[in-house]
Formats: sequence, structure tokens, C-alpha cells
Amino acid sequence: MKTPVHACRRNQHFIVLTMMILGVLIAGDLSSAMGNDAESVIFVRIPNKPDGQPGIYYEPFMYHFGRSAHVRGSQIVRLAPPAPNGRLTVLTEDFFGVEEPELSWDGKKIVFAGKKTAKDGWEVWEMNIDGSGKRQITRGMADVCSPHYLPDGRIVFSSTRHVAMTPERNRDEYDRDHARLAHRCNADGSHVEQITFNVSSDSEFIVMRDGRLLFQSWQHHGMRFHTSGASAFFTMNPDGTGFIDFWGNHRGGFRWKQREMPDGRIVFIDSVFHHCYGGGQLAMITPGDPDDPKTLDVLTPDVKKYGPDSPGGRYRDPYPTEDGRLLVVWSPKPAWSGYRNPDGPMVKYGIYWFDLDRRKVGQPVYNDERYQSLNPIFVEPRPVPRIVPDHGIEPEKKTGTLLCLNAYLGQLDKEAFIQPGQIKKVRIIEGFGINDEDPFFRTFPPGIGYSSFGSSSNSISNFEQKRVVGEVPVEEDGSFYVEVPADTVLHWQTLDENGMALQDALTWAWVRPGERRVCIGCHEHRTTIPDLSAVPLAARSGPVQLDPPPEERRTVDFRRDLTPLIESKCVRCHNDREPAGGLDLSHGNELVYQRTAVRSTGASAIRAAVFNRAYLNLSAAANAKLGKFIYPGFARKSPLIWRLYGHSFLYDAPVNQCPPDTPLSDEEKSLFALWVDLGAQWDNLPGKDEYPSYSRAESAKLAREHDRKILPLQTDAVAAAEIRCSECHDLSRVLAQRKTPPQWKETVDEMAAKRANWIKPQEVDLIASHLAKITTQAGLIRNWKICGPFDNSGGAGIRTVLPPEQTIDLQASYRGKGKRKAVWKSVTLDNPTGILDLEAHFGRLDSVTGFAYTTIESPREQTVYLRVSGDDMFEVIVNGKKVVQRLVPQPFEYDKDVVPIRLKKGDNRLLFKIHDFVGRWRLRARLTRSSSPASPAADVGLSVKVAETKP
Amino acid sequence: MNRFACGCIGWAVLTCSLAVGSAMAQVDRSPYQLAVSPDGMWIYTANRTADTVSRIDVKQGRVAGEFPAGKGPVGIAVSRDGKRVYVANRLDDTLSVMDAASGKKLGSVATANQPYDVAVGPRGTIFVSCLGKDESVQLIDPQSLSVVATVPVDPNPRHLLVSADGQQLFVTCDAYSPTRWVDVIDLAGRKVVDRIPMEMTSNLRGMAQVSPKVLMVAHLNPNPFTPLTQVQQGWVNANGFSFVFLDGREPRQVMLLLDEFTTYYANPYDIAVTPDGRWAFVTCGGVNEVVVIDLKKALQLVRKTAPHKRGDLRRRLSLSRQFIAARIPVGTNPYGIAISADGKRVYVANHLGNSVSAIDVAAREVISTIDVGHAAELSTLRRGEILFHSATICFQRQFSCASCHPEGHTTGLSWDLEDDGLGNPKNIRSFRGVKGTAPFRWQGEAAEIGANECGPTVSGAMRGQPLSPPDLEALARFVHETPLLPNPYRGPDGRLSQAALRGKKIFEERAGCAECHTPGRFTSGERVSVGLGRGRPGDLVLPNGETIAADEFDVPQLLGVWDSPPYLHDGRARTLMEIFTRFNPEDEHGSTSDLSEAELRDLVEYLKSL
Repeated sequence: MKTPVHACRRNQHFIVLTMMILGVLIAGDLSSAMGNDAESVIFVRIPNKPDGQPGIYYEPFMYHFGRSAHVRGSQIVRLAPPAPNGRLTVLTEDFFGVEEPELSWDGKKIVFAGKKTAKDGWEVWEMNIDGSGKRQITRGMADVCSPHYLPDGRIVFSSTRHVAMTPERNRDEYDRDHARLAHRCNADGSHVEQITFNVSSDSEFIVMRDGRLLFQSWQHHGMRFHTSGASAFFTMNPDGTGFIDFWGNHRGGFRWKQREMPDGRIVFIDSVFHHCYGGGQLAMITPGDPDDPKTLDVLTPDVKKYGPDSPGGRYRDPYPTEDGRLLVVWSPKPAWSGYRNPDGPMVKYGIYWFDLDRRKVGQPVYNDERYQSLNPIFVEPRPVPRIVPDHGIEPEKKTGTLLCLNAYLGQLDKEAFIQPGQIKKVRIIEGFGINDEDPFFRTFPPGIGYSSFGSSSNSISNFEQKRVVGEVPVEEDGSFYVEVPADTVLHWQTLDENGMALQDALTWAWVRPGERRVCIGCHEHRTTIPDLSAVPLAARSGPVQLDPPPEERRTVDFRRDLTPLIESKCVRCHNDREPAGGLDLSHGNELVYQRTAVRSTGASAIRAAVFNRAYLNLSAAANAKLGKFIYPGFARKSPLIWRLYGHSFLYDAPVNQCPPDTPLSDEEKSLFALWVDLGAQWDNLPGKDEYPSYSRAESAKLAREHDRKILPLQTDAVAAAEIRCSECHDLSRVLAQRKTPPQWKETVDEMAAKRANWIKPQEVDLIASHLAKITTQAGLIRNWKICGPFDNSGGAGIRTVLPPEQTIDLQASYRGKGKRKAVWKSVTLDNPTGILDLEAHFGRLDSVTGFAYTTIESPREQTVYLRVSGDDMFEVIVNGKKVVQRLVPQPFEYDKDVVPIRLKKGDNRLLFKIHDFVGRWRLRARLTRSSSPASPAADVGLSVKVAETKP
Repeated sequence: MNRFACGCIGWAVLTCSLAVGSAMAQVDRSPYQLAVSPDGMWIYTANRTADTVSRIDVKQGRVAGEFPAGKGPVGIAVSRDGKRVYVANRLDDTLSVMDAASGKKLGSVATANQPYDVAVGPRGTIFVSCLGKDESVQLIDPQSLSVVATVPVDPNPRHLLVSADGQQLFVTCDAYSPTRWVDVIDLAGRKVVDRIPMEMTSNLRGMAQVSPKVLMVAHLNPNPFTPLTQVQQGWVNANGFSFVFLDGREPRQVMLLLDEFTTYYANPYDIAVTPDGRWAFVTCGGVNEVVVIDLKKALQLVRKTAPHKRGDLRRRLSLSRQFIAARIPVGTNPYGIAISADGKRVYVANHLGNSVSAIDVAAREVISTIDVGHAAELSTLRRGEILFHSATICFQRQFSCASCHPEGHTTGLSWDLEDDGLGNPKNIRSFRGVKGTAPFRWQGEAAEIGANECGPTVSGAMRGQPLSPPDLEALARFVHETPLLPNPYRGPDGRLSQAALRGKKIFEERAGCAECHTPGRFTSGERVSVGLGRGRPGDLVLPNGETIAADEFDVPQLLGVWDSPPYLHDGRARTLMEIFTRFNPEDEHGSTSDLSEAELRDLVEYLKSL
């Protein structure tokens, strides 16, 4: 098959000549042969490693725990015609490694990231499509990926060059020194200019036909998408102005490899995590309303986005041709970095046509078992996108302006929580990657509840280091106008009258020097046009200047600012002798060694946390005895702050003030509030840390000591399970697993085999039986009387004392939400989970409050522990006394809150008031003897009665 | 090629030259509006720049005759019996009446100033909208060809539409304010009986009736209070139409956008609706396309939206794909549109393309393009005119120069451009008679209208791809050469009225206006402060480092000032009179506070005559 094609190429001149002589008569016959040959595809192939494993960990924008994502031995090759019998030419024989070729608009040149020799860095290179004329474009860019031609002849690429330029913020949020950010340069490599500013990485740029850059930005900020961040599509002008989300920013997950189809649709790879060798589902979006799910068209629903199994294999790197065909990279076996296969790589990425009609992988183009083949581009001229001219950038300026037309405008959830007039100010905050001296201290404590993957030793939460650029007033019409430092990683918070954050922007953004950025609101629907009937009030008097020199930008560091305050004001009551409320804040700056782990990723990821006791206890996770004190990023929500102010800001209700006799000064209180709003950080001082911490050697020593302490054989089942399992697993989550006792045995056996030095063989049965026991829903309350629905619009149900709270009369009928009657109903739960689903009884409702009631008989006066999961919020009234208020919406999680309650001898009335704003409306409650999850209340003689009428 | 084919071509060439006449052959026709004869056999176009009417033979697909009209013919209608053609000649204030078949002039009616559109009532009465000095609709008796009534309407009356029942006449009044009007004239009572506000609109143009109770109006959706720092997301202008509900239910106006998230349909001008009310065809002058609207779907969208939320529909860029059934590329700058009586063909006047496109309604495609006649070559001026009307030079096609400067004039709105900071919107200035009034712009920051001025506007305010130097030069030339319209306040020989003469004296002597508004172009070409911008943001730093204070303005030229309300840099004075009665308390802008009311009237009368 190869020969005729070759012959055809060799004879090309002759044929052209013949055509000229013979005229048009035979042109039809020849053109098909010519067309075949003229077509070619260029791609990257990477040899598998000598051990047979794939040679890729291939999301070039990221490193994996210090290892480069780049690979050696990768080649750019050309295949003509694009078919298995095509002729293959290696274009970069003489390179150490190459990546991500992109075609020029005329289809004649290629720009790519390349590393010439082992000693060189990764730089932008260019060559002709036949491999001739290689030319190094950039120099000294540190580490380059994702180069792409711009329509004006310049080149955009992603690079770590800025690391050297701004050492203070040179790390990303994982303390890796290589956030890759967008740069552009002239065709000859001159005039390199950084155009994106992010704590994490921006990469994979394409130029849409309208001239905007569409790229994927990894956005990590605090608790965004359960801490791992997300990569979504953003657009900006090629000069770095007008950065705005395009699609996917509100969904979580990871998506990349985007390309624009000739009809304007965007084809891309939808994934949930970066462990699939860049692979995932093939999907398309029609640019439109980002919140309209109809715009997402999943082309390959048989592909699972996550994990080692996927019936449809896994896709990556789609590339549309001008006539609407689609090249893809596909592996019949799912690619998954967590699994190794002794028989060679599971992942076999080859290049295929995608059959858009049948929505299946089509004809193969190139597939060689020895290689992973990636990044195909179809060689053809393409229409040059519009040139979006540089606009308004004044390089000599140090600032840009930001005018927001209406900070109240946003998406629905916000309108429900923020009342007109409530936003008084906006706080502009600068972000940094973490910069620890010793990377060993990228530690991973359990976090504050959301976290499965903490980020840094700077904090038990997941926030980057931040400092406050300043605050700007918000006018009555919601507008604000501010001049801020340019080319700086920024985000903002809307503030209430106490200067606490109402909302926290979860995307990092920036303005370019001289840019005049105007926003409609905060995350308004992007297909909605502004609606003003007057010039915004803030614009009438010019921007508020907020450009203090870096050293004057304020921050709160727990050690520097709060520890002294706690020592002088709090320790009197909250000490280790008689900790008030069980909260011990003593021992000042004495560091506590806490060994912990990244859950579910095994021993290698175990890290140490070194904080003081006050920090650990204040930021304790939700399943601690006393519930949460703080919600990082949300002072208004945080009970600690309520205590200090004597007021619950979320529900506008008084609470007991702390300290009771000598309240903190306003300034001190606001310091705590700011600390929480900025993410409740331990170390929030950008740059080199002056505070004492453990060295790597010291930490290793402590780790050994720690292990010695807890390694002795455990004979108590509770202790064994807690010590052995909770290193990596959250035991409250284990409760959700519906395993039988033999399955638990199997699981624990498996773990013991994996970590022989950790779980002793003698402990296996103990642990397994304990786990089996606690997953039998010990002490679960299954008999309820329920009443509802009452109105909770805007928190009405929380503020109002409803009749069942005063007297429980199971025959009574109340005026409920809307025109409904609220009466008591009996419910006996026979579902395995023991979840009381109030919507099943009252209908799918939002903004409602309801009651669940039961009686408990206790043989004596005693303290027992309620383990409650409430959705969204709940209060507990025991014998007519409100003992618990959990008024912060939080995810429904088994045994989320552990609440000690005092029972009297005889019958005890237990009333739950359950509030719902949006979504599900549920309750699950267990009674346990102690704070340990597996100590059924029956052990202490409690019996749950079917609630009966009590006059 | 065989002999038969040669013969055919020769015959065609011969007929063409006979029909058109060699004298006219080298001129751009610029067909502005068109009308179809009741039998569907003939199309008549008002050729704005050729002062003619073309008669197109539909069957043959070619121009069968071209007849002289008055100056600047823009509006055209055919009588109900198809025997006569009426043409509104905007520049000489006449209505031409001609025999449809022969083009023979049957009469000419003197109308009010600037007749724009013509319509014919059920009894043959001719209606003419006059948007100049006396903003009115005139009723003309078809027999006597005399004006039988002049009905005053809201400012700037443009298009006319006789209601389906023949009882009423709708008039789009493109007032110089964010709210414009559809006036409803009761034909029996000959007066305006209803004024329907069209909120947040500009460039209010053609109408069509969808059903007895539903009217459709084409317009832009300007966003003048949003700083002009970007053009995407409908920031500056969006393009759409409004349904007007005539059954009294609120809201009466419901606007929908034609635009999509990243592709815009700039400058919707005119609408034709199929007789069954199912499809609407809208000319989008800025993008050379006709969009086809599925009216059933569009009306469904309105109905399923709660009445109090219908006002938000005009802000949604994601809706149009629900009801736009097709977009049909046509010639350059399509303006007028008409549908044949049988509803099978739609004809589009490609204003700057000098052609008529015939669209097959069922197939939704252009089946023929009929050349109406054009200049031998594209002049620089014409090239500039085309660019001026083209939204394709704007990022995502949001708007053209003509969106804010329709006909080189102004929409009367104020915009907050970036160059002088934000928060200080400035009124759009008319280009009419701009030549020789340097410097330009409100603060005189532009020394000339040239590539240096138009380039930054295209690549800045419009975020368009930079134009080539010849294109920029052409565009600047067209702007620079925008002519003044004849001043209706002057006598036939240019004489001033008695009142104006008295006003002239005040202007030159007592009030001291002439010190800055130097007679001639009525500008000194200098910047002065008359206390209007004091205390406001907007100091302007020029590229050369020179700073212009926020309250210093170029002395604006006054030629044609009668026709460009509102006044002052931010449009705060709605009338010329208000400049003196409301906005000159300290006599900083001429000594006018001691003038009597009568004297002020005289002064205004003089200003209008300039």
C-alpha cells in the first residue's frame, strides 16, 4: 500500500506538468490521489519506558510531587497521508524531548515546546512542517509548555519564568515552585511579557475565531470544590485584559484540551482529576449560557471520567479539521496513573478519527504499541482569527482600575442570602503561593472538615497566603470603583457593616497596568447584558486609590497577632486544667506535633503538622466533641466570632459573649474576624518564615517517637480502630459504608497486608469487629414524630420561636408555610441508612423548617452523646431547653456533629428543629454512650420510645 | 459558447442599456427602501444617492426602468391598485407621484421638512412621515394631491405602518432619548391616540404586524449608562426587536435580542412578516444578513415568561437561538424589506450594495440578486460609507459607526468612553457639517478626523481588528465629508426670519456668544470652561502629556444645531432653550440670565437657523 503513495509523491512534478499540458480533462481523476497525499497529520509520540510502563505523566502544566511532567525521548512526527499505511517522518530526531506542537495559520510552520539536550531548559521552538528550519524562539524561560501562535504573529506560551522575577510569590498553592503562567513574545522571542496572574497554573491556549484566548486555568482558592480546586475554561484578550470565566467554573472537576470547531462549538476533554494521563470524556459545548446544562454535549457517555475502569476507554487531545472532521487520541483501556500493570502499560494512546455521527471512535490513524501517541494536529491552512488589538495597557503604570456596576448582582444563592444595603465595603486581597523554607513541611493535617487534602503547613485550612490591599466603600446602587495594583494576583470579598465577608470570590483575577476593568456584578450570568438606568454612583467621583506598598498590606498571622491575645485574654478560662467548654487554648507558642496523613493515598503521603495547641483546637475538625469554632473564609458563620462579639451574625441573634467580663476591644475582635475571613491561617507572612518550626531532622525524630507511642499492640477495640484507621480515614465517613462483617474483615486484612508495620495481625479482628459494629448504626433513632413545614424564607424559621418549641402537643395543628397545615405524623424508619427524609413526608420544599421529636428513657441522670447529621441546619431542644444550635449550612455527613447532652432519670423529650434553605431536608441522629462512634446508647440503658402525646 | 448564448447576452446588454439609460449608468443607486406591486410582478426601489426610482421586473430578474424622483428619495410605496408609485424625497421636502408603468411624473407634493417614509391607507390616502423641523405625519389626498392634515407626533418620526384593520397608523418615533415611542394615529380622528414607550431603544426603524394584536419593531438596545470599556456581553449596543402588544395587556413592549453570546446581528432595520404571521424576516444592515424569526417560538417564549419578568428578556443573549430559524447572507447594508402579497418572496434593498436580493420564503435562501446599478468603481468615499455602516469591523459584530451615528448624525445618547476616565458620559456628536471645525471631540483632543482618530476608535471602542491604512483613510474621509442637511429654518433664499434677526443681534452683542462661537463655523477652535464639568472626574491626559481639565470643552460648532438635541457635553439640556434657562445660572456660558423670555426665544430662533 505504501508504494503507490510514494510513487505519487515522486511523480508530483511530472503530474503537474501533465495537467498543464492536458488541460482540465483529467483533473478529476488526479485530484483524489493528490488530495490523499497532501493530507498529513503531525503528532507527538513518546516511547514507553524500558519497564513497559507508559512514558507519560502528561499534563504539561503540572508537576507531580516535584517530578517534571515532561518526558524524555518524545518526538514530533509527521504522517502522510493520515492513515496506518501513511509514511512516517520523525521531525525532531535530535531533541531530548518535545511537546505540544501547534500549527501556524498558513499551515506551514509548527511551534512547540522542546528541550534540546538534557542540560537545556524547555523553551519555545519553531520549525517548518517538514522538520527543516528549526529555530529556538525563547531563551531563559525556565520551563515552557503550551506555545501557540497568535494571529498578529506573536506567540503565547505558559512558563515558570516569573518565578525568578517575583520570588515572593514564586510557589503555587501546593508549595511547588512552578505555577505556570501565560506569557507572550514576539515572533523572534523578544519582548516577553507575562499576561496571566494566578496562584495556580494557566495553560493550553487556543485562539478563538473572534480573537480571544481560550485557555484552561487551574483555580485553587480555599475551599473551592472541596479543596482540590478545579480547572475551567477562561477567556481573555491576547494582552491579558478582560479575564473572565467562559465555561465550567461553577462545576468543579477538570477539563482541558479544548479546541474550537469550525461551527464555533468547543470540543474538549472532561475529566474529574488529573490522574488519567490527561484523558477523560470527549465532550462539546455550545458557547452560551454557562449555567445552562443543555449546552454540554457528552459525546462518549460510555467513558468513565475517573478511576481505572471505563468501558469506552479514554480520550484526549481532540483536533477538528476545517471540514468538520475530528481527530482524537484514544486508549481502548482506560489510562490511570495509580495503576501499574506487570504485562505492560494499560494505556495505549493512539490516534484515531472520531466518528461524529455514530459518536464512536472511528478509523485508526496511527497506533504503535511501543509508543503513546498524543497531540495530533491536522496540517492545513486555517482562517486567521481576528486580531484583538492591545487596548489600554500603559506598561509604565503600576495600577489598573476596577469598576463594579453592582456587587449585589450575582447568582441565585447569593440573592437569597444578601439583603439590599447589606454590602458596605469590598476588601481587595492579594494572594501568594505558599513559600516554606523546607518543603518537608508541606504538611497535610486533617483540615477543618472540608479538607481531604490540605495544602500547606501555613494553615490547617486550605487557603493560600493572603494580605489585604485595602477596602473600598460600596455605594447604595452596589457599585464600587477602585484603583488596584496591576499584574497582581487578586480576589475580593464583599463585607457587611462589621467588616466581615458576606461573600468570598473563589477565583483569582488581576488587572493589567492601565486596564480599566468594568464588571457587571459578581458571577452574574455571562450571557446577561448590563442593565443600568443611571451612571453608577461609584463612577461619579473617580476610583478609590488602593495601592499601598507591599509592606503596608495588612495580614493576620496566628502566631504573631493572635497567640499573644489568646494568652492574655482567653487562657484564664480555656486552659488545660479546667478548659471552659472543653476548649484548651493554653501553652502559647509551644508547638504540638501531630502526625497525620493524606487520606486514601497511603503511607507515603503521611505528613507532620506543627502548630500550637490553641490553633489546633480552634480549628478542630467538625467531628470533634464541640463542633466547629471557625469556618475559614467566613467569620460571619464562625461561632468563635459570634462568641467574641456576643452576637450570631448569620441569624442576627444574641449569644453569650466571651470573655464574659472583659470583652475584647473592637480592634481585637476585628483582628480575629479578619483572621477567619483570610482563611484562618497559622503562617500568613509571605516569604521566608521567621517563626520557629521544626527542621526536617527534628521532625523525623518526632515522627519516630510518635510512632513508638502508638505502635504498641492495642487491645481495646475502640482505641485500635481509632489509632490504626483514623490516621488515614475519617471514621465518621466509614459509617456510610454498607459492608458486612466478613467484608470488613477482608478490608482490614488487605490494609494490614499493605501496611504490615502499622496494623498488627492481632489487631485485625478487633478492628474489623469494631468497624462492623459501628456500621450497624449503633444507637440510631428510628422512631420519630415529625411536624412541618414551617416557613424559613430568609431564615424566618430560625429567628422565630415556633409553637412546638414551647409546648409539644402531638394533636395540635399549626399554620405552616404558605397555606399548608402543619400536623404531627408518625414515622418509623426502616431504611438501612436511618436517614429521616423530611421531603419524603412534606414534599420537595425549600426554605422550610420542621420538627422531629422522640422520647428517651434513661435509667439515671447521665451525659450521653448525640451524633447528628442535619441538612441544612438543626437545633436540639432537650426537655424544653435549647442545648445546641448548628446554624451553619454544611454538607450532610454521617455523624457530622457530636453533641453531649445531659439526660435526667426517666423520660426525656428530645426535639430537633431542622432548617432547610435549598436542596435536601434531612436528619439522622444516633445516641452513643461516649464520644466514641461505636458505643450504642443501649449500653447505658437508654431506650428510645415511640414518641407519645404529652399534654 | 454557441451563437444562441451570444445572442442572449447581446440582447440582455441591449435591453439593460435601453432601460437604464447611459447617463445614469455610472452612479451608485443605493436602494434604501422598496415596495412590491400588489400583483407581485414589480419591485420599486427608492435610490437614495441617484435621485431615481428603479422599476424591477420580478420575472426577468432585472431592472426594467429607472425614473427620476426628487432629491434624496428614501421612502417608497405603491398605490393599492398598483398604478402609482409614491416617493418621499428627504432632501427637497417633496413627495413624488409617478405612474408605475411609465414612470411619468403625475405630480409632486410639497411636504413638511424631511419626508422619510410613505404608506398608503385603505382608501388610498397617502401618509408621509416628516422627521425634520415639524415632526409630523402628513395625510395627503390621492386625488387632489394636497396635504389634508398634519398630525404632530413624537420626535424624529421614521417608519409608518397602516394597521391590519386599516383604522390606525403606527409611527416609530426615534426620539433622541433612551425611551423612544411608537405613536398610534387614529385615522378617523387624525390625531395621536396612543404613545407606546419603547424603553432602552435607539435607531427605532421598521415595523410589521404579526397579528391584529401584535406589532413588531426593529431597533437597537443601547446601554448608555455602562462605561464603554468592552463591547462583548452586549455592553454597548445589542440588537433586537420588540413585540408591541396592542390589546392593552402589560407589559406592552417586550424586547428580544437577535444577538447570540458571541455573534451579533447589528443594526436591525426593517421587518417583513409572512401573511400567516409565522415568520419574520429582519434586515441586519451592519452584518449583511437577513435573519428569519420563528414568530411562534418567539411569542411562546414571551408567553411562558411571567409578565413581570418579560422586561428581563431583553438582557439575555442566550435566547435568540430558540427562535432564529435561519440567517441569510444578502448584499451590503440591507435596509428596506418587503414581502410579496402571496407570501412566497421576500425582497431586500441592499442599500450600499446597489442591489436587490430576492429570497425564497420556503427555502430561506437568496434565489437571485438584481443589480440596481452602481458607479464604475468604488470611490474612497463610498468605501468609507460601507465601512461606516459595517459592524463586521467590530469585535463580534456588535455595532457599526452608524449604530451611534445613524446617517452620520447622532442618536442623542451619551456614552462613557474610557479616554477621560469613567463616570463622565459625553453626548454623541453629529458628524453633519463637521468639516472645518477642528479640533474635534468634546474636549478638542483630536486635531483632525483622520486615520489617527478613526484607528483608535475602531480598535479601541469597537475592539475591532486594526483596519488597513486605505480603509482607515476612507472611513475618516466619509466621516469628514458628512454633509449638512438643508436648514428648514431659513427662508428659500437663505433669509433669516425677523425673530432670528433679533436673535442674531443678541448672539453677537448682548449675550456675547459670538466671542467663542465665531460666525462662520461658529467655533473658535479653542477650549473654554463654562462651568459645566467642574468638580467631575475626567481630566484627560493626551498622548503628548498635555492635560485637559474636566471642565474644559472645545467650543462646539453650531451649524445644524437645530437638529441635534440634547445639548451640552453630557446632553443635560434637552432643548436649546434649556441651555440658558437651566444650565447657565452664573452667566459663564454667555450673558443670558438677564434676557427676557421673548429675547431668549429670539436667540434660540437664530441658533436654529444656523
